Amino acid sequence: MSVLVYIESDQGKFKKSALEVASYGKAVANKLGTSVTAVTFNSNYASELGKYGVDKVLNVSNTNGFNAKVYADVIKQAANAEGSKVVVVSSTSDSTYLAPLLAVGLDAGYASNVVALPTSTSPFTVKRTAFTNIAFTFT
Amino acid sequence: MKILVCISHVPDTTSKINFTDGDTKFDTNGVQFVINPNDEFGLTRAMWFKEKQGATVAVVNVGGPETEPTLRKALAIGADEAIRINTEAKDGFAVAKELAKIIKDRAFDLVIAGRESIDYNGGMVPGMIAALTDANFVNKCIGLEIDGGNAKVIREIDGGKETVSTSLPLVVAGQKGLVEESDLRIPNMRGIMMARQKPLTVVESVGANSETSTVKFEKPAPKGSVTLVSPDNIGELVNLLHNEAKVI
Repeated sequence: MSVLVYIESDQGKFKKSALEVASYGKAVANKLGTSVTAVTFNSNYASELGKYGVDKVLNVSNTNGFNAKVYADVIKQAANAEGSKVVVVSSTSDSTYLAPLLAVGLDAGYASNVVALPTSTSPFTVKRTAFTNIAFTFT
Repeated sequence: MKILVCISHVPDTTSKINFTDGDTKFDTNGVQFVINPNDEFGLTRAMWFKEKQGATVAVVNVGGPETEPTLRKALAIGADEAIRINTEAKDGFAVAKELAKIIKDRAFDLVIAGRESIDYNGGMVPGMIAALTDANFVNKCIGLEIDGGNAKVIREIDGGKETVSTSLPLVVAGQKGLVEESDLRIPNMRGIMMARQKPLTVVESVGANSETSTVKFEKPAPKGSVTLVSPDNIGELVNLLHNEAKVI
């Protein structure tokens, strides 16, 4: 039932957003009373994620480069295996590319542009930007 | 080639954004609605395929009758037909499910949807459509060429762009850069007159469920006043940051 986080890396190194996603995932997991599992691809520093609250890392070997459909399917399989009810991805180009595919694969709701920790876990409610940053919605 | 362009009916970018009903609904009073800007880029590109490659172009919106003027504008720009799926756009996933039905029924080769709409900025409908219709998908599309059943798509990535080769059926999420802004089509009088005679078909909803809902809206806190602190008065600065702003 862990929170699943997708941690992006580039040539083995974590992208800048990755550690923020890990920390956010940890904070969400704390609210839910569960642990954090990270999915990474070709990471050379997977063990570093422990410093950011990640309890388990699934480091996938992939030699074919980023493919949104493939990555979404792998993350979906991980989410199902972990029983994850919440999956956290960043707002990078690649993450926003795969996120809708992942949401359909999991038959899950998707909230983009989230800017804060959940205000409620039941129902799961997050604050996100809307109207091109002129307002916020609670979704 | 059969092209479907998804059109969102959104507030004009200069609209005042306000909320009613205890901040649970967007206040549409006095708001002008337009074609979502990202959809305009897609529609203009579709018109190029129509004029140069003989494609047919349909436009579709998920919404109530109030969205029909926006669909008529798309017809005036040159689309051949419009389809309105008669239901509220409950959330991005529900919209995608409604659109997926039409896409599968009519076997469109190419679907162009805006990367995100300027109201809810969901950024999910194009990808969800692709997943639901088992079509290829490219996000953040800033270049699109079709040759028979093959497509070359340029997508924006962090720090650059990438060219992707793929094939039809294809869904692309269009955005600024897909066509030059100077090439965006504006309806002329002839187009407006012809739009009245083009078909606008209303189809009933498949009753798609939403996976999310908007609990409430909120506007950002108004900007506060500015307090200037002399560079010689570091103690006062630390005091303000600690006791008033509470950031240290």
